[in-house]
Amino acid sequence: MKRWTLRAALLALALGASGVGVVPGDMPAAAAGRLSQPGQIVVHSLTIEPERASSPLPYSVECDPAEQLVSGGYNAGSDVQVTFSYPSGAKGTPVTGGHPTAWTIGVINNTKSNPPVQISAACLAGGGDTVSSVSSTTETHFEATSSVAASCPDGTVRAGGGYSSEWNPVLGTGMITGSYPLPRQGWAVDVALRSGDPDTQPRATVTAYAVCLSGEIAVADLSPVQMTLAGATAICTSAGPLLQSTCITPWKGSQQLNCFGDQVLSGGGYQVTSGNLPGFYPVLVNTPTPQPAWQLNISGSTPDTAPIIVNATPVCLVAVVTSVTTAPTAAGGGGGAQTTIADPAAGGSDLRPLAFVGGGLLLLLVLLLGALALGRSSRRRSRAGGRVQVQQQGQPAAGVGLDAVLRAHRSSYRLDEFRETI
Amino acid sequence: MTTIRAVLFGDLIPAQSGATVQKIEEAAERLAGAGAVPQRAETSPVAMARVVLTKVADVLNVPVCDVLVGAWRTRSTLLEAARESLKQPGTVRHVAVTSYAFPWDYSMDVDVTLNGVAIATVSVTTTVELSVLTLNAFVQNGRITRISSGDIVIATGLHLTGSTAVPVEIPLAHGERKLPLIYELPLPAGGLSLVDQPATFRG
Repeated sequence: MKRWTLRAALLALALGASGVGVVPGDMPAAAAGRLSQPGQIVVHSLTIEPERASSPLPYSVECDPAEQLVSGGYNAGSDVQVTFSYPSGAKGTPVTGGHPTAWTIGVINNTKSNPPVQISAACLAGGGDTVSSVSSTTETHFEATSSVAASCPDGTVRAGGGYSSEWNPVLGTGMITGSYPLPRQGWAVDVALRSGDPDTQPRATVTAYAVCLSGEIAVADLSPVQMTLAGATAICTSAGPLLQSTCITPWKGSQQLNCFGDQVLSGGGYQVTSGNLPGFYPVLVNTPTPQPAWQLNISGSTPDTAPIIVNATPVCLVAVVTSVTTAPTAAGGGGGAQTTIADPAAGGSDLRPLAFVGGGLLLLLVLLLGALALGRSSRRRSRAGGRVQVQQQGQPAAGVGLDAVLRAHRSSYRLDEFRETI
Repeated sequence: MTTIRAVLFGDLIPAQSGATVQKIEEAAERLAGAGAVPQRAETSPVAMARVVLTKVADVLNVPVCDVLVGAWRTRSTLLEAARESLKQPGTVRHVAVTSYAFPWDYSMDVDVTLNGVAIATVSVTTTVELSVLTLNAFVQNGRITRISSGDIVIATGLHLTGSTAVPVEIPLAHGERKLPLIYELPLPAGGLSLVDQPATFRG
């Protein structure tokens, strides 16, 4: 950690010496200066025909190697259930703290056919030094409804997000009722608990994922669009001598989300603000499209007749300004001019004192770099010896993120081997 | 309630300090010794195997009685008696079973990730052989309303069934237990339902 601090200080010193500064990532786009390139979103899509399965099977689509994943989603029909949708590695393993390269969804297909499902990954191409990473939070809740949120680290912006819910028909499963951007750097997931075995305490283990971008990019204001689902005429069963008539109401709604002007649409989400989603998996489409836009379709049925209102929110990114600064000159009085552009035509004689100071700083920098190189080489030698020691104890080296992720699990009774004696 | 994890690796609060950790450690050494996880400079195979086994142990936190009830609901004399009792509401049926035995398998694929990148996948299977001896139970309206006697005998084994590093199958851990059924399966008020019953609609 100290090494990085020192390195950052040296970098700052070097930038100061050369007279060039970079504006922090959250700077508003309206400031004066040179506008960096925000890049462009490329949507990679794959249409799959999911296998029949009673538990979710993962399917993934990747970004190109030079691109940065920013979000993803799916377009499915009502015949299948999409239970998770998250940033992942190429093999579909959820990324919980590193660099994502693909988007993965989990599909349950209980039908006898193979209805097509489209999975899409939104990838940022040509975004300069922009790099995406994932921040995640996993929580287990026992209450009927709950929320889980992940937050991007300082210095990054949240571009998109996703969710996964541990599939466990026995202990219970968290049904995702909302997946949306939070006002600052977070991504939230709303969860409703679906009970499993009536004799066990139901629980839901859910992970919220936020895809974070570093670099010269910022988030424009989040502007949710209110979507009121349209209810059709209720469908009722006829009453009999034993059972009363019961009714369900079909609900449907769709919304396309866009960004303004030079903004780049990187992601989108939805949050129920009134009523309850109709059914367990009613969000049939929640995906980026090539326009570029974000498409949200909800369709399902429920006995509830209360209005259902959903906030659909696009995540729009803007490029920030990269500025060139000058140090204050004796005559110019330009102190604090962090966003002005250097004028090469300015009086050359006035810059001589600056050149002198800069030369001194550069000399100091060279000396410091030499000391740093010596210190690092000695530390590397000592660490190499220490690593042997550490590995003999079977522990990962410090700073190594070693983890195990449950990719799939399945259980079954061997029915042909049941034995009973009365 | 005893869990599959407890049978396999020991109780969460074991009588002997460190016993559970020791069993997981032994299994991790077998897993690493089989070459099921790759060699990497950043960490040792044993460390990787340890995180895999810890994850597997977490997932196996399944109560033994849940596995048993699932089997009863699938195929059993108790299930037949429960269905019959629904046809004659109010009557109580006594069910005596000398021996009831079944196997249950639980397989999982676990990815080993290093700095967020999957470097190997390890597949393991837990095999459970469960028997219930000298069961005496009472069934009414599709539910078990009382259990007067019965013992669970459970034997469980954990096997490596494959990995992306080497295709090898070896045993990793084994455990056995005899458990009194009446303590393992506390019946809820109103009894334990064995059959799907129509939901009650509110008017």
